[in-house]
Amino acid sequence: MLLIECPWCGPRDESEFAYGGEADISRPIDPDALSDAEWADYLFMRSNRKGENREIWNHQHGCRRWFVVERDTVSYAIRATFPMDGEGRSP
Amino acid sequence: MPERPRDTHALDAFMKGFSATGGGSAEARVLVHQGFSVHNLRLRGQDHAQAFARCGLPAPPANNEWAGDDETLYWLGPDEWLLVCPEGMATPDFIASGAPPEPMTVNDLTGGWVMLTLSGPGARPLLERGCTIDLNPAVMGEGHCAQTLLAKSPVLLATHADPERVTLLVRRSFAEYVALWLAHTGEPCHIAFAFQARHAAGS
Ligand SMILES: [Zn+2]
Repeated sequence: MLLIECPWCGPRDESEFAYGGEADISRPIDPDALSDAEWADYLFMRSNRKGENREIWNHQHGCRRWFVVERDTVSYAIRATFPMDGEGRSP
Repeated sequence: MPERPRDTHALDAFMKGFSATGGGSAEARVLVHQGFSVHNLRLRGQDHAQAFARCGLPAPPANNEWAGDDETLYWLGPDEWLLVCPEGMATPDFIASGAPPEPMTVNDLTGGWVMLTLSGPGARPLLERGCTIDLNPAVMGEGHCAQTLLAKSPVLLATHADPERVTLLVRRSFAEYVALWLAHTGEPCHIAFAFQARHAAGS
């Protein structure tokens, strides 16, 4: 079980959180200008890297806020957590 | 004021079935509160302290803390609080008028929450059996609150100066389940449940 540092509530058990997938994916500003392939790439394709990843998590049963987690998918070690627009915080 | 029928409580059925147990040997007691209002306050992108002052509210509590005596403000998130007022006490004007002087959203959630106070030497050990947060009084002491899971049910826990006392706010639809879990898990310490007396008529 992971111990995840919520940027607002502090360290909490993984069971309080919901995983939201890869971070830093922004919706295209003008979707009409995109081809179907480009739209599908935005919608479905994720890098799924082995190792260091930036992910978004939601503190579902706590403060209900989204935030960014830097996590290694091999060791499961969490390097830092951030508010969506803020500075990092080491666990 | 016209006479109001007594509100039904989410734990009426549970309490009927449980009233016989407990007694003097209880190491954990659960008081089921009645007659209070609950409002959810949200304020986006503002100077929180100033906005609260203009609403006639005490200063917003810091992260993971609660403040107040009768009227209580719980921190829920960086821009969200829960205001709990006992029945008969005047709620802030902006709640009565429905028009906060700030761009604040106010939601009356009174019917949606059940409030319990656990007390006695068995209270914290009992909660620890269903909760992953550190309930040690050195960590979760006076004036702290936390939204978390108790036996998989979402709850708001608040701790007091008296380490043997913990307030538990539970959503109405989970209340009977949580009460049954407390009753079952607290059986070895002879857990006792009681309704809090209603405030005197006229309020
Ligand atoms: Zn949180």
